[in-house]
Amino acid sequence: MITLKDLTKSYRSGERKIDVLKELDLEIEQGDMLAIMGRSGSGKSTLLNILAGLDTPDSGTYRYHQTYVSEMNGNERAKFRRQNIGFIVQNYALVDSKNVFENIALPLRYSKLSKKEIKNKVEHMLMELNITKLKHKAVDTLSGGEMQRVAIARALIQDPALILADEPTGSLDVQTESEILDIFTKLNQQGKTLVIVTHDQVVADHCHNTYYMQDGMVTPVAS
Amino acid sequence: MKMILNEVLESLKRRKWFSALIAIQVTVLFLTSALLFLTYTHIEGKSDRLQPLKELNFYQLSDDLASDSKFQAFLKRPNSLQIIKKFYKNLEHRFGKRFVYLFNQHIDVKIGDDPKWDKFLYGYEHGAPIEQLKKHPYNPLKAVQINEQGFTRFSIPLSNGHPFSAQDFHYRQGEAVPVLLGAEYQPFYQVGDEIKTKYLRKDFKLVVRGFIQPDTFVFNANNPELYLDRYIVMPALQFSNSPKNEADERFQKIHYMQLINGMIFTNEKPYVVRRDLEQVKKASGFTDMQLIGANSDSLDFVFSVIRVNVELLQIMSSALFVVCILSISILMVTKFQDNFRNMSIHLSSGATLNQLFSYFLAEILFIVGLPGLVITLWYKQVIDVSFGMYTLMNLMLFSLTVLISALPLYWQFSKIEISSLLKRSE
Ligand SMILES: Nc1ncnc2c1ncn2[C@@H]1O[C@H](COP(=O)(O)OP(=O)(O)O)[C@@H](O)[C@H]1O
Ligand SMILES: [Mg+2]
Repeated sequence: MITLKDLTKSYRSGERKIDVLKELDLEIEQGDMLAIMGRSGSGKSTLLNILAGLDTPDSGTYRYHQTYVSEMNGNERAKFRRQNIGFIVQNYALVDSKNVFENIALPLRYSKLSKKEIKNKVEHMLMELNITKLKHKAVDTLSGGEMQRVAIARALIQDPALILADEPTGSLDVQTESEILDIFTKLNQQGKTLVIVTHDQVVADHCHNTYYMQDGMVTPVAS
Repeated sequence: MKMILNEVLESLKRRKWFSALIAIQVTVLFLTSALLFLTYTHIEGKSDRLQPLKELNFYQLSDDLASDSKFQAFLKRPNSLQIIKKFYKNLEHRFGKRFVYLFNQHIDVKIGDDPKWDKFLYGYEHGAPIEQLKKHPYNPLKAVQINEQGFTRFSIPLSNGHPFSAQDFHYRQGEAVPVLLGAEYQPFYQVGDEIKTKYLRKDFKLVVRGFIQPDTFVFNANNPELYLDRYIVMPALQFSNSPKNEADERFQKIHYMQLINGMIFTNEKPYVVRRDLEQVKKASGFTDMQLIGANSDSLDFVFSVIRVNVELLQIMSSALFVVCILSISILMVTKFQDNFRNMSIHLSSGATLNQLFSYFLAEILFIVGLPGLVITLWYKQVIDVSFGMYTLMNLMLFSLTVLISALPLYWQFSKIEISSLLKRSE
């Protein structure tokens, strides 16, 4: 499904040049549920952002099915994100000036759907994640677990084939973490491909494969 | 489109006091530029087309010396006569055909006791007993004084005799003043008859020039229909000579005070009439004059500000222009930097950087456009002079403000990399 080849990415901060990705190679099969671990600053988020089509590699190729994402321009990548990617970040990134419904509906606002279609989709998603009662709440009144469910709902609203999660359980308690993991497992069973960046061995244990990121490359961890 | 509107509204809530402050600044900017525009545009009053009088608007000039003490105090000022004469001359000069004077001041005539004269007495129609109306030996008869423009504009029709000519409106020492008599005088006088009278206590010899057709009426602010059948119509005289004695001086003062309380007939906007009057006031040094029908708080405001002086207005609007642009760019750049997190959410939801920029741009358009629109509507309502030109100028000011204040933001957008935006939103 995904082939990354010789991916490099470096950042310049002042005089210093930081090589974050160094000729990284990675294959991801459709239907996989994959964990990426590694030290802080090792480049996990960078990799995920490139997979999401948010960031671009300096060199190397990113192939998604038959298309080369690494060749796309900004508008094409925005369209690619809309059609294929669900993105979940650590701190339950929600827009605090919008309520739960509007947060979940946000990706649909960038597609050409009618009001009614949007409403139906969001309500379906609220039901799937068991948060129908939160529909009209302001996001700053939610608990951490609730916020993360809303963020997941937004990531899933376009029915993306690839779900990318950057430390999705990083600041949740054990109980909530296991609920979120159940959701991920269910999604995977429905046929979604998941890539989860995590520090947490428990999360990694729920995945089929685990990679370790170091020195700008990823290596599989034997299970 | 709806999306943009939504985002703008949400964003406006974010730093609403700062935004409101900017909106006020922009409002004042548009206001001062409107005033500046007015000081620079000298739209000359187009001379009246020959429209029927009733289709024109008319404004009544009214001196502010309403209280008697104020009036007396003014009369006592040594140069008051020169001032009002000058004022009158400037009125005629500035307003030309638009300035119509039609005043209702009785003329005193020795008529004896014959009741055939009663209906001509001043106040006869008001129903007071005749005895009270009669004075001795001179009796007050109904009369109007009319200036040359008024005579032409009302085009008073005669049944016989001659209309007034231009020189009839200038008093010539020792010569009889021509008058036109209402139709009901016809049995008692003939063209060429002379009448000894007093007008404002000064002796005048009148000569009958002609008779007015029955049922002819004129009007002024006090009388919507003034039938002339029982009236003496006298030219509003101009006295080029300076007064010979104190009594004469007092006469001329009162006469000219009446003369300046005329009417303006025009199809022009109130603002234009008001502005022309302001110029007459300024040129003559006589400011106790109002224009009834063209005064409003908004116009008062406009003229009080314009009087301030043009340089100050120029400085104010250029300063405001700079301040507005600075505040808007600061607000927008601040919002931009506050909002990495929200922007990254939008980006991962499928937005492009261009779309994010368009939200900010729409917010600027809104902050500048709304006050601009309000002031434009106000201008249309209150002033409505050269509206096309004004709108053009406003559009230019609007575009310039939006463009310049969006530049810093545009620069921020063009140099930001998505990766660092995402990084900073973590
Ligand atoms: N936009 C950026 N500009 C400069 N340096 C960056 C930027 N994004 C990431 N980095 C650096 O790249 C390295 C990898 O960052 P990141 O991918 O966030 O690591 P991880 O998610 O594994 O902690 C870090 O050293 C980080 O400081
Ligand atoms: Mg990270």
